Amino acid sequence: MLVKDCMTRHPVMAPPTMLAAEAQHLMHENQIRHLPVVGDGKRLLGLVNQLSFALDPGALASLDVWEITRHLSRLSVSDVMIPADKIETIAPDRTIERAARHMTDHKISCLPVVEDDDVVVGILTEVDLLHAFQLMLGLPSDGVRVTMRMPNRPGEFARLTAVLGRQQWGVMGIGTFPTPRREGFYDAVIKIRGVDSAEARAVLSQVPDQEIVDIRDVV
Amino acid sequence: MIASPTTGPRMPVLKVENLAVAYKIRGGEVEAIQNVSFEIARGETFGVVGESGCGKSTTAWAVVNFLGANGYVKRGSIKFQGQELLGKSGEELRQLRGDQIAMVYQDPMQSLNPSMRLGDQMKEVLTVHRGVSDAEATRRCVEMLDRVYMPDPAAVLRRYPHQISGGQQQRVVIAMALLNNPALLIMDEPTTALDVTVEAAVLDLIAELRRDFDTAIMFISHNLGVIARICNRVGVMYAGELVERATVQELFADPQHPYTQGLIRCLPRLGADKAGSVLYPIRGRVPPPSNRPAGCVFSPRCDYVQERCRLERPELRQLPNGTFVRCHFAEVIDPAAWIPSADVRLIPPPAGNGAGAPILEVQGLKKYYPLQGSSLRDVVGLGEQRFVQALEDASFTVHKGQTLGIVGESGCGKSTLVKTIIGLESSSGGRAEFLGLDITGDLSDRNTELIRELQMVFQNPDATMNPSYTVGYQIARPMERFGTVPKGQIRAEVLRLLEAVRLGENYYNRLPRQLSGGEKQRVGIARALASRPDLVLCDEPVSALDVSVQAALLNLLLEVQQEYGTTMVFIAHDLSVVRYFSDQVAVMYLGQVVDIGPAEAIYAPPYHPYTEALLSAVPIPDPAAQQRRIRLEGTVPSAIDPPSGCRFHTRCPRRALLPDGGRICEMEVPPWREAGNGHRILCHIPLETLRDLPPVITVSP
Amino acid sequence: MAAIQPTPETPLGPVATAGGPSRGRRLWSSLSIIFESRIATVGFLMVMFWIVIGLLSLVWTPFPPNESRFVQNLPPNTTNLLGTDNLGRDTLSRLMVGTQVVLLKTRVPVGDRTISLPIGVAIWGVLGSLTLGTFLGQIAGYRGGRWDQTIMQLLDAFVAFPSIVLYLVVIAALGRGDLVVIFAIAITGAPGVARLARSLTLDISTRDYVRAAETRGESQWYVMFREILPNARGPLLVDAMLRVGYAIFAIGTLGFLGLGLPPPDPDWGSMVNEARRFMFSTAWGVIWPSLAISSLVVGLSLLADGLREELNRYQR
Repeated sequence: MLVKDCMTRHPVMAPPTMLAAEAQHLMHENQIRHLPVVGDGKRLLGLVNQLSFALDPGALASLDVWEITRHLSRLSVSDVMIPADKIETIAPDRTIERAARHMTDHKISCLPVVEDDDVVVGILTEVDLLHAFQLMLGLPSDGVRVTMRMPNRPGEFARLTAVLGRQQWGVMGIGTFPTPRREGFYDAVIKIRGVDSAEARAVLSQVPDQEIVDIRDVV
Repeated sequence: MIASPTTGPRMPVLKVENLAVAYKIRGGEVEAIQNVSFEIARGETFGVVGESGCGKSTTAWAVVNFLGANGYVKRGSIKFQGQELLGKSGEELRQLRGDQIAMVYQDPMQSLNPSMRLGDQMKEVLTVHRGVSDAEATRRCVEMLDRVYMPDPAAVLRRYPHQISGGQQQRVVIAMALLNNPALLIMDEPTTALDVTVEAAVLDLIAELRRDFDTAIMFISHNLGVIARICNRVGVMYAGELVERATVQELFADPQHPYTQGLIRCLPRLGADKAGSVLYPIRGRVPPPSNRPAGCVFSPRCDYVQERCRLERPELRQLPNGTFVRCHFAEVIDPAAWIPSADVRLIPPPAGNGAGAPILEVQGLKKYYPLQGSSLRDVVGLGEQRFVQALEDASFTVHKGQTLGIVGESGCGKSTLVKTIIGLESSSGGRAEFLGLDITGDLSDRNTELIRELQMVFQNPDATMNPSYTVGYQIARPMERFGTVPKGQIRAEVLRLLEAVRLGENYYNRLPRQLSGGEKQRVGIARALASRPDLVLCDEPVSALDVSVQAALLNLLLEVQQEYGTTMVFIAHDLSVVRYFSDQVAVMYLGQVVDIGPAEAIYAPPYHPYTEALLSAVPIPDPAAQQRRIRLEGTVPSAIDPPSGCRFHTRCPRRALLPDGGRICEMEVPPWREAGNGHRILCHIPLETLRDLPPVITVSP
Repeated sequence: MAAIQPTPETPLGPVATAGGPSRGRRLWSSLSIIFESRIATVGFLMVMFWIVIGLLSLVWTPFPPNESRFVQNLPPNTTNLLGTDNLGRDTLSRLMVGTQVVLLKTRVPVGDRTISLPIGVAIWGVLGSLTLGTFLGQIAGYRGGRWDQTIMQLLDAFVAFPSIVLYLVVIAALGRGDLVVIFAIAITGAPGVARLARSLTLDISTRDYVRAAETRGESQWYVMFREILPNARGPLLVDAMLRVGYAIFAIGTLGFLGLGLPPPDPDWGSMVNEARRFMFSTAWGVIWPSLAISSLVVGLSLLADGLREELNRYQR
């Protein structure tokens, strides 16, 4: 799964000349939290998020009440956006885990996806990553969700898949995590299609050295 | 199919609401389109279908603001990605158009600069707009051309637009549009000018690209078959209004608006023939924008019209099944209870049932055009004389009172064949006899009696009549010329013929510019019949017409044929029309007849591999129909140096069925294989193998 | 609610009234095309102005045009509105009469008398080149091949001579006179017309109605003159209008060179020529006829341009 597979293509974008109020309206109407600002050729100039519209007390302090209204009505997107040199971006052929790392490192919720340095081809937000996470664990399809705990050593996962293979069961989603608070073990979450939980439990409990931590039909 | 997790309401890429576009004309203005509303989501293809003059293209032009000097958006809103496009400055619109909206036209040359190499034009998008280096731009252009299945992309980049074929030009245009990764792609009849095999390939390509690039596509077409193949949702336009909007499945399975129902009834289903089914044209014609009825725009042509329809204009409203329709009575109209009007009826097959005596016999007919060389040797006459072998070995027989349909891609010699038979060209070899008289020479070798017996109906309705003379004069002229009618009775005879082609007496004094396309074509038919010919050659007589007019004209031709007992040779590229209209069908490829036989036999196994590919490419106006996917590689080879052996071997998808990879196809001219009942196939592959191939098209009941 | 049954079909009534428009109406409708274009209207008014002036001069001029009864080289004044020339003749009257030669009459010597035919030298000349050029161009365009090459190369060779030289040669060979000028204009204009007619024919002969005529076994002449020519009419007429302008120029030039229409009747070119010698004492004698020539020519060009635009739009 690469960034280009999970990003939102053709995001809503704004020209720098757009009025801030208009941009706010646009974001509200499209229910989006991030608005890339692009110039000619979809080159990234900046990013507008909800914080951009917060008033800057410093800028307003010197103005009287009437001037504030005027000041606000004239504000354009280029006045309020985060300029391009302060934005973290990512290329479409990077991996999504790298993108996620990027976002947690900088504590940001969105990465514009750019080609050729600064041409915006998409946008990757937390929502997109959460979306990918759901797909990864097979949420959209019906099936039995099993969490297997296994020791951390080579060949362990193959044993599990061998059992699945013998049963000819289809796997809709899969994810492995180091077991929390227990060194040397891994938890594997798999979503199996076309079985009921009793059947799955009966078969999977036979796998040596592994235990079923959790099993459920309804996720 | 995996349902996608919810991510809140998705904003459509394009949202058009209550759009009205007006054109200023002398003494006022006309509203070309009114109250058009639709939206297109990411990765969706929205089809816009309707007859010509219904405002399909105007809608597209309004979106990209190409309305010209005298057009403007009068009402409504056009939102692109949530931004209102109306009222934006020219500069902002230009930027949006360049970066996020792309348009593909019917004629690819409208988007290509004829004096620039294709590579330079394509690279410009990247180098000028994005500052990509030249080498990198070249690499990406090659990649993109590869993506659109362009053979040998690196070489194509060095060529000029005129050096590649129309289908390839259209691919280049699509590739160019996609280089910029637009959010919205507007395609205005992108495949109309292409051959059916090329069209199929381009449509496959569009469908695939839409998935990969998540582009929203607005696809304009008059062809319901194309729409059925490629679109998710469809809007039907009539007289400037959107009359129905539905998913493609709903639209074809359960059309709600009487106009949509009428359109679908106009089309011959592939496999239907004249003996078993009737086409039902929609009466009347599309009203001009300046003269639309006050109530429902369709009311003058509607079979279900009520008083309310004439007074009150219906709104576009949603039905319980999700379809939007602009009709007061959509819920109560039951298409199953529809009764065809009395004057459209099944034409009984000619009396005596069965083939009459052979009237036209063609045996190995050839037509070579000498090629003017351009080298010095050619100019002084030392060069080897080369020929375009437009017609090589055409053989068939037409029986009295029957219709022979001829199909094939453009450049396969259909028109040359007709020209040679009628005597506009003399043949270069072979035998051709009409009623026992030799017709291998051109018109100057024929006597008046023979000339009179062979007449022709032409393709282009706008060129078929001389604009300077009245209808009456043009129909009367052949009678004067051949003396078939005594001088005093000519006027009466002309009126009778006008009656026969369903035009009234009042057309006698009209000039061609006062007629619609369909009416001109009717006059063309009347003129061809005026000399009472035995054989009428029809060169694509209905392909330039809208479907409802086409249906009426096909019915007319059938009636005329029945009344006068005329024999016809009928050329068309639309395989369903040919199937419907013809008794015998000949499939031509590169100057040769490769498959000939009774119509029903041609459309069922055993197929000639070329016929099979053609059938697989036909767009079928039924999204539920299953078609096997066979695509031909490349284009028809040049007739100057046709392939050796079987002329089809360079593109044949079935060569692998022969031992040794079909080497024999390159070496030897294939034999005629008799499949019974007069069906003959020119192919090396044994009949038994061909018979085992499954049918190309299966229509689920 | 029961399903609505289809209403029985009512045939759509006749769309237009029977019978075509009358001849007069058709003429008016083709004339009205002029007034759809502002340019053409202006041009039309300018040309009409001169035609009216010419017609008026047939019955009335302020003074007899060939009578010297005033002081010479007068500037414009209340008696002679445009002044007088070097022989003391009234310039206005001469200018008015000069219109006749160009647009309204042609003098043909019969024996020792001279009779006047209607329609001016310029128009006869252009009609001549139109006839000749169309004929040659149609043959070249429709027959093609060797006919095309021979005719067009001969015409090309002809065009290679400067037209002034051709005029001079023709006049030197045949002497002066209205007929000679007409001949010269016809000859020099023909290649241009032929070229246009040929290209129009090439275009029109690809149309299906020409195919239809051929498949009726019509003769080549019928196809050329009955099927093709009527449809080439529009562009040829527009071209002819421009050519009338050129012809007026040519007559002016010939008059200026002293080779134009024979005296004593004034033509504008010779008026300029005569007044030229006194240009530095009084420029009026040069200015008025020059203005007349240019306004008529500009009027014709405007008319032609406007018509061309309208015809293009009309045909689309």
